[in-house]
Amino acid sequence: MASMLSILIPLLIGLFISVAIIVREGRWGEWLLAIFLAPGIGIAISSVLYFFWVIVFQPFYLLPGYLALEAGLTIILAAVVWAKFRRTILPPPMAFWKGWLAARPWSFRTWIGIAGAFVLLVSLANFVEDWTLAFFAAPDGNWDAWGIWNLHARFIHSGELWRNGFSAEMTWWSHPDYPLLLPGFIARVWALIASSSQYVPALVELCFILCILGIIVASVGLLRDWKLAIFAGLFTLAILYDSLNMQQYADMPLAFFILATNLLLWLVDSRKNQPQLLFLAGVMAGAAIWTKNEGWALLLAIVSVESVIILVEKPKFRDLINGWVWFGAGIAPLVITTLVFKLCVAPPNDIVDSLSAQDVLAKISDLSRYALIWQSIADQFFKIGLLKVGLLPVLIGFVLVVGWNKIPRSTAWIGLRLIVIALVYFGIYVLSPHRLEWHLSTSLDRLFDQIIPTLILMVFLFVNSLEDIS
Amino acid sequence: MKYRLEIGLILFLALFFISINDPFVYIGNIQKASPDLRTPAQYECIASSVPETAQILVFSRSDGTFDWSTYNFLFTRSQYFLVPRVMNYTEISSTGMFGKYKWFLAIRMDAQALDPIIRQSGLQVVKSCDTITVLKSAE
Repeated sequence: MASMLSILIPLLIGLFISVAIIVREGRWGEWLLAIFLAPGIGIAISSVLYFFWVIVFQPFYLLPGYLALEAGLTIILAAVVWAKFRRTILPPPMAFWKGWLAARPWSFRTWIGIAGAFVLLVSLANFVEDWTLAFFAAPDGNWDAWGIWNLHARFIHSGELWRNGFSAEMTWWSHPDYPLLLPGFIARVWALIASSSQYVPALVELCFILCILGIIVASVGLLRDWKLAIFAGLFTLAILYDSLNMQQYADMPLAFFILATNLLLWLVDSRKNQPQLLFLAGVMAGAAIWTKNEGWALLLAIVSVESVIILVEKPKFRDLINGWVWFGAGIAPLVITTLVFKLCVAPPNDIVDSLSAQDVLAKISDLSRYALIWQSIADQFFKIGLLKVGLLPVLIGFVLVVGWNKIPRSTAWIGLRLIVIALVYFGIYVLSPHRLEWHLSTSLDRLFDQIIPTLILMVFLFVNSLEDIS
Repeated sequence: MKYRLEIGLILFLALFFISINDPFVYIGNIQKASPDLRTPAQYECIASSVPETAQILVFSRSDGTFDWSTYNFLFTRSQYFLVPRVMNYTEISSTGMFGKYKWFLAIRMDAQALDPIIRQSGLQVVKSCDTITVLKSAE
């Protein structure tokens, strides 16, 4: 019972929140999008609650009380959703297929879409099989999983001495300052099921991976058309294969939150008068910060791009403040949680702690570092993803074949945010205290993987719909 | 060209299908997975006098080569732990990480084979387990 509740409750918490905010017209795409956004929301909230529970009560104490706290939150959210949707908004079960079948006679492009759906399903089955093989080959995950993320979860789960795992005595490469969304949630499930099962971190990772795919397919299907959604899914699956080389890392959860934040900010522009979307975008951005330090780069990107939007679009002051209040209400709890962890529990970050003004100047003025970083980026550009010729060149080829009419501003803002994030990553490499070749070789591909799902979403939000092309 | 888009889409689909469902990649994954599946899986270490919290390195040897399994985790007095993977020694040493351990505990799976590597890497054995029991092995 506790095992089932430990998984079910966060999923329900996330589902009630996402349904209340995302579902408006009751379309299939809205429901799917809400379902795929839900696990990330629920995991983030549960992780925060459990972190404070551990701080106050230490692990293993009053766990029934903790479960009651989460259950109470679930019931409150269920009541909110019930109050909002008294009349049913479930889509007619056959509406999608009826509309689809009525479109006959099918064009050649429809048959290509059907073939694409077949390739996507076969490839997805293949991916799950490969993921299963990879899991049994390394059930504790790869290096960073057992050296950082699961190690932290084990410390939290260990009992009264859990803070030792986040002391300055830990070696730098176990990164005791890394935030705790993933370790906190894993430790929470371990505590509730009374077992540090290897399946927990692995399945949490798989959940994030499949939700990234689901969000992209559902959102492109909802906002554009289903044929584009299938190709978006194929591109996404090709990049998700990289996760097999970094099992149980926090990079895919971070990719999920960067993707979800950008999608929700895009929806804010397309759906006027629904500021709750900003609240949810804030939650997702906060969850990114609570997942990895790179989440701060996302926040910087959001603030920078919003500043540009203020200059370009000149919104009314009242609307501006209103929007920031909603966004702030979503992000604040997670940022505060991260700051509590950073200030009260964790030692200083190894990169920040090692910087001196003299060192910074020396590294900034060292042109060989820039050359090495650029060279590594160029190498990854042609290498990243599972496709035989590199995913990014193929994505560019797809855009050129399909074409585009006009890039909407809200889509361009996504690109601008990604550029800011990429610049922050670049700057971190320039200032890295570690041997640069090693730092690049062990992390650059993961940074690409963090932002490419969002890049794929952006591309499929502006390319031509396949039916639009004559 | 009239069917430029259709030809392009079919080529994209073919590329995805061949790349993601490549039988050679699939076979490669199995081959890659197999040696790891054969490595010893679970051990018990009972140590009488170790720090309450320590970072642990577990060294093991497989197939007569100097491949190492390493595992860094919380150590509290007596605990089960896993040796999930094999890493190449040069791969680890190139990161320069060994010298950074505050505490570590070398568990001697094969003392004769292990000692030269420990000396070569400059490691200092702080503690070693009093007893090691293999609980489960996939071999």
